[in-house]
Amino acid sequence: MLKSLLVILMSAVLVDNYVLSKFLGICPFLGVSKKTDQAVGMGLSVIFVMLLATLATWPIQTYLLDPNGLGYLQTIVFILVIAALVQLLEMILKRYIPALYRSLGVYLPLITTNCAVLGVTINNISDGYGFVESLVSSLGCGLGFLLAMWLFAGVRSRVEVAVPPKSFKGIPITLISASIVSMAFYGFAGIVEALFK
Amino acid sequence: MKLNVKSVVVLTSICVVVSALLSVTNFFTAPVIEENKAAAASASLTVVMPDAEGFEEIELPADAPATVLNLYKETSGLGYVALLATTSQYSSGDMGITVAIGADGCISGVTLTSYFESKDFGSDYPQTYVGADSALNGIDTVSGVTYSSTAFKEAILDAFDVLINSGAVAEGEKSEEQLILEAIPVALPGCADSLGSAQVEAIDAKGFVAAYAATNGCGYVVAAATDAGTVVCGINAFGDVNCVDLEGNPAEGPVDEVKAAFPILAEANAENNLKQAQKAAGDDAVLTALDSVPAYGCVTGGFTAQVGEDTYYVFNTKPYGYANEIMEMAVVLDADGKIVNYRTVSELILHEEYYSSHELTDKEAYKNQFVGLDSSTYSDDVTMVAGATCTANAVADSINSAFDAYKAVKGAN
Amino acid sequence: MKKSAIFLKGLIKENPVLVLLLGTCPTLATTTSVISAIAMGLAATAVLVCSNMVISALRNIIPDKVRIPCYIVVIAGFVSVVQMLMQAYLPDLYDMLGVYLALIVVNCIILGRAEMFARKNGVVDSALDGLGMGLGFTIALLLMATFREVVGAGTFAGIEIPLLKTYNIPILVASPGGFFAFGCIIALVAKLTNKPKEKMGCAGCPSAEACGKLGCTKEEKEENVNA
Repeated sequence: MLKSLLVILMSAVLVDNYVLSKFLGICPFLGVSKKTDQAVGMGLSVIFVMLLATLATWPIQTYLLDPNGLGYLQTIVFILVIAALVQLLEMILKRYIPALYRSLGVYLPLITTNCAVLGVTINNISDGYGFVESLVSSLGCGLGFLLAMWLFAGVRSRVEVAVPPKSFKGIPITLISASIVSMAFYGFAGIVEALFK
Repeated sequence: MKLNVKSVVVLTSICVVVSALLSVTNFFTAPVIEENKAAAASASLTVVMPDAEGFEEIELPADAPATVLNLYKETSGLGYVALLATTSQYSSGDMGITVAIGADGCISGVTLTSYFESKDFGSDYPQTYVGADSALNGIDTVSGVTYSSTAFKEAILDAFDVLINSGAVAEGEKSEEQLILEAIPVALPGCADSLGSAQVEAIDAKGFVAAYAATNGCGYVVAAATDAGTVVCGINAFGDVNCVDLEGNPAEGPVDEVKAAFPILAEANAENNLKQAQKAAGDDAVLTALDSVPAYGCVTGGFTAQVGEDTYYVFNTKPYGYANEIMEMAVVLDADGKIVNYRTVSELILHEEYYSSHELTDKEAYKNQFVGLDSSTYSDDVTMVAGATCTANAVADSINSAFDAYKAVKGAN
Repeated sequence: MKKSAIFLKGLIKENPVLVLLLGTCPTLATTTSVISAIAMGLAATAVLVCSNMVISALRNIIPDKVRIPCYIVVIAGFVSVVQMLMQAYLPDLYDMLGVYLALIVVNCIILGRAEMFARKNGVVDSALDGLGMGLGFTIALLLMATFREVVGAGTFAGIEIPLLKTYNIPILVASPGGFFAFGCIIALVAKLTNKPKEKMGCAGCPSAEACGKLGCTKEEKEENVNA
């Protein structure tokens, strides 16, 4: 049991990294990765929201939609739940934990339409995960996102001061660097299964 | 406030309209999607039964083996398709098998749907099952990948079990050849590997129905026709003969003819046996070869050893270890049948079983555990090493064979 | 603006992927093969046209305060319809696109066009805009996918290309290749238009305002001053 959870976690972080191998959450990955502290703040917020979203959507799908044959409402219900959740979270943080709000609050509105969050909730259902497995997989995806953001912010701080050919300036050279970081993660394929199985 | 009310009303009504639109779409697409899924599911079944018109799932009986996942009946009466999953000791995941069994009780198609083992028994192997009935006549496991191929065979037999028990297909008849092969390990247990299959090679029958030599040199097996039917006789390394009938029960057999037809292996290998026995018993022991040991384990040679006043017994054993590699051990017992020395001639832990090297760093301590045990105080728990099951089984086999041989010698005297 | 201009601007001049840099996720994820790229492009186009029309028709009814949730509901509704239709009638493509089909909901091109165009223009114009943008998206995906599939796998839409089949570069079809190919294509566009792409596309992204707090907008203003 513990072993299979570990496999889910590690493959979500390393092998099926949401950003670098599944291309989910590219906007914040390219947009908010210029400074390490911003990248980490964004990553932490995503982990938080992913876990909350899974906490809410898994029971909704399992106990509300599936028994009533409403599986086709999945997409629309999930996106609304996530949007409402983020709004609610923002309000609660603002009112009760202002310190946390100041550090993470700015990132929350970006997450509503983050495809990684919607993606992880849908994937948990389509992969047939149970409740605990879903939470572990969400945690793994979130950690993977954080790891990718954090590593890439480091890479990017170097890229920013380099002088590429004129047409590669800005986004193109960032994408090329992302490609190289992604290649590093590509090497993890197969390792996780061999390690834990 | 008015604005807020309007917002809520508009958002809610948009939600309601969209949901209504979705349920209408769903009403039209749901049956098509269902149909697609059913078609996809039966497509995987059609692979093994290309002429099938359609399938309906049969409920499995409560006592069905866990290997049988689903059972389908072909609607036009061609037969049945079973989805099987099995694991073998060395695989990291399930082996998935889809097998089609025709209404005549013969396998009409089989495929592997998933396979996780590092060692592969080849894509041709499953195809050898096509055409066979539940007796699986002439189908053998694959040497070197015994565990996987045995698991595969067992899974197929489980599928037959379910179908035969529910009266869906008739049981296949085993041929005499098959029954003889099954009786071999009963007649000469020493030639059986840890899974119980006989490790023998067919040799010149010398006028008998069939004859086989055990690959580890513990004896021969012959099938001989008698008035009471065919019997299978095992000849051990000392020329003693043990006969059983095709059901595996003790039977009368042409003992003398059989004995005369084959060489006494303990004599043929006397030189090596003596060398190893001397090493095990010590240089000052005076060894005398035993000439009759009516036990049928993996013993290949036996001696009495005289050291001063004391008498000891030394038995050479050759059990099957990892991947059926033949191992060699010499066991020294005292006059009361207690183990005095356990000597491994071959490397005790074969390098393939690498897990064991962590457990068995002190091989001497492992072997010293056996000293002082006799057949009443020994149990296989003593030899068991987690992660080195095959080798541990071989050690257990050699010790048990030595105990049996000791009892046989004592009984004869 | 002329009707034809509304339609045409999405194709090249304001191509959502190549020029506005929107919808990066599906651009990277679904361009491993030409077929999945076309399927993704057309599915998104269908959603875009429908949602643009509905949002434009309802533009006077939807209160400004809740417009984003309303847009999301409308878009999610059409995405679900497309999902169901594809699952029923094009099951192979449905399996091929997997989760990315559902994720059209959060594709910023669609929300972006609702926010930037449909809520200010008529139904016909919005439909034309959606069609143009959708086809522009499809063209960009097709371009990416052609490069990746032909060079990476040596096939085009599944048809083998004799010499390339033997000498392909498989990593282009894998995830690092996605980033690489997109980077090269954006650089090519920058070379052709002579406008370096410094910023992520935020046009119409509902998060743009929040993004701005993190520094995007500020730098942009500085650049404008420099220019």
